[in-house]
Amino acid sequence: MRFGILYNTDYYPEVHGSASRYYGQILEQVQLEEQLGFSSVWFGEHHYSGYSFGSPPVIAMAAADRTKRIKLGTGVSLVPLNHPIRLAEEYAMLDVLSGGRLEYGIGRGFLKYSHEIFGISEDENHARYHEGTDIIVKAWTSTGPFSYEGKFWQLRDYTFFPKPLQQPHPPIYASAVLTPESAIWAGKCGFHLSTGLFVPAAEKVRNIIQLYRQTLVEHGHDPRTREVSGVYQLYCGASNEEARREGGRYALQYFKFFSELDQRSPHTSKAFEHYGGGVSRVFGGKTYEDLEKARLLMIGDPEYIIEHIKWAQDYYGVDYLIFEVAQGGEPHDLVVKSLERFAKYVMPVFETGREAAASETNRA
Amino acid sequence: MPLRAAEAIDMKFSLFHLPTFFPEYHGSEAQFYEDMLAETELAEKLGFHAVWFAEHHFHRYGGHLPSVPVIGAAAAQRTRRLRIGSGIVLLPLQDPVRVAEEFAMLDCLSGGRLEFGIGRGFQKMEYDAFERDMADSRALFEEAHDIILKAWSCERFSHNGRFRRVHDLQIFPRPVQRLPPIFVACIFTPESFEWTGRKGHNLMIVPYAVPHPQTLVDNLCTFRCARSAAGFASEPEILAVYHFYCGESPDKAREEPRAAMLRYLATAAEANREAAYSEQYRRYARLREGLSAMMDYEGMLYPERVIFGDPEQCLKRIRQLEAMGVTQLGLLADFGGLGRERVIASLERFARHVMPHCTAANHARK
Repeated sequence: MRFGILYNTDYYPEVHGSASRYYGQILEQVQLEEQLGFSSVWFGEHHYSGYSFGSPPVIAMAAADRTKRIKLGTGVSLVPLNHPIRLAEEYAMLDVLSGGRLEYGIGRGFLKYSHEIFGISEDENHARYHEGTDIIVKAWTSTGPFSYEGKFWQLRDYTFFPKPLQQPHPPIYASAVLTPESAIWAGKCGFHLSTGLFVPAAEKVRNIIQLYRQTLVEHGHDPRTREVSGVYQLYCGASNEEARREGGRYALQYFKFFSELDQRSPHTSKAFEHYGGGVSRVFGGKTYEDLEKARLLMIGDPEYIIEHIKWAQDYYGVDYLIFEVAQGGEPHDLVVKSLERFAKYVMPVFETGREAAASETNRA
Repeated sequence: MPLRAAEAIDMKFSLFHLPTFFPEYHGSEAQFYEDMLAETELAEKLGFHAVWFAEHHFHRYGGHLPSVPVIGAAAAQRTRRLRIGSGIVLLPLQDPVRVAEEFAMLDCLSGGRLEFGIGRGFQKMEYDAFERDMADSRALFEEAHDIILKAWSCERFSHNGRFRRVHDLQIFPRPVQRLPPIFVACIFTPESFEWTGRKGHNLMIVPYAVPHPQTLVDNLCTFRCARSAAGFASEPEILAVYHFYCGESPDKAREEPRAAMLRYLATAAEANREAAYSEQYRRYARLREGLSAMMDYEGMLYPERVIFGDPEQCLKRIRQLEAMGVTQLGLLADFGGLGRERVIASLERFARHVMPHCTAANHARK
């Protein structure tokens, strides 16, 4: 089992202060995460409204310069909303400059308003996602000039610089949570999977993972060499009570935050039919108790979390857990305490996780 | 070597990266980037004012820096004081809303050290790959400029442009500096000099590309006139970018960079094998021929169009540039696979023997 951290953070000036201070605290946390033995740190892409990072490779590059071992990933890079060549270039730079530490998480996005900002129709979302990814992989793996006649992008005798350090290309984690097409596509392409284990539809998500694994096999990819990563909100408290009070409050605030963004512009396209009208509906009316009972929150004391991780391993078959922290205005010192407790009491229980962390530290 | 004492020169110095990659001289790409960042750290140590990174694509002429904010984030982590500039970001070739977002992040991550250099770009292959029409270059550039300035200076903004519409958008983050200093790259085109003056922005020039010195003198005049006509009374920054080598003796300073400079020119010419086609690039039509002609090193290039000299010669050139109104010299010190040791020796020699004569540089060092 590998453990990573994901920053899909919502900014509150009254808690975080200036943007410089906000980024500075995140980078301090990243340094701590490396010391504590986390395997990776991922950054989310969203635009405006103080949600995540407009340009994940920029913050990831700063994180790379402060660390030596920890992998740097994206959760997720919004392929349909960007020019694929720019993404290929920026992330190849990051891979080279970080000494080959990129884990490239991709997805198609889940907010309609972000499509609107860039003037991109949601109906084209899947097609842009697939074509964009195809171009990125071609650019990364091309050994000479290549041409591409796509529906959205055309390239003629195009030469790509620089090459990513990891060969043939950095590992790609394709996102699929509720939409079967996404799971099938990820499996066909033979990418790793990233999914959301905090989404109130555990059984659907489990089916998505099974569909992905089944598609891998059908297309000749060995599931044992592909990772399934899942995202949870994490707060490791001194007691269950403290964890629910502190961690619970911030998790709920975060769900409220992105639900409001979703409500700004409700989905109409078929491309998002499995969201049943949007994430705000998926989360709508759910109390903390509902979410806890449905095992959607990694919030509790170490014992609770250990038990929950074992359950998730068994129920979903995940081998890579990525925890979202510092959301909902959670202050820096609480994030630090929770991470330290997790590393001290939870990590050692998961032998493979500990071994991986230890051996990676030795290598560094 | 003692230089004659004279009035101190008012000039800032910066390191300018437009990297040309030659595996046979640089080794791996990872090493290439590492050298670039090590030189950047050295520039801060030596008391330089800024480091500039140029955006280019798809060719070993500059193509290793397709994203200034990514390399800039690395530079920001490795330095504390050095200003970090884009030299330049190609505004017509990307979404202005994203540029505003990425560079604001860089400004925040560097604690307000961004110098925002912008331009139209001139390479046809870059316009082709991003599917932009060179005939629209000025309109794209000006619209992007307007959007970025609005995004940075307004709480919320809208823009109804020819290429981009934005409705009631609030960007996060906004730059730490209320408005980062803006530099506009102008090479040949009088309209660009005029526009830059009129907007009150700073100027970035690349004199080696311009065959006749009088052209630049006239353009600088255009810039100044437009600037004062628009009511800007303060002195603008004028950044001049030059290929640079400070050698031990005049002979060494001429010979040691020769091969690397010729490689650089050949690469630049190759990257521009297809000339810009639009009326907006009339003066670029013979760029490739111009670059190739400079391969006649003594006849067309050295010494006027580069700064290759011993400390005394360098100082003399700096005095001439000061007299032209140049306030910052961008040293393109690592070009054409000159070699790490030579680049470092050249920068250190310059810092030891030339910079003490310059007030702005001494100020930066403190």
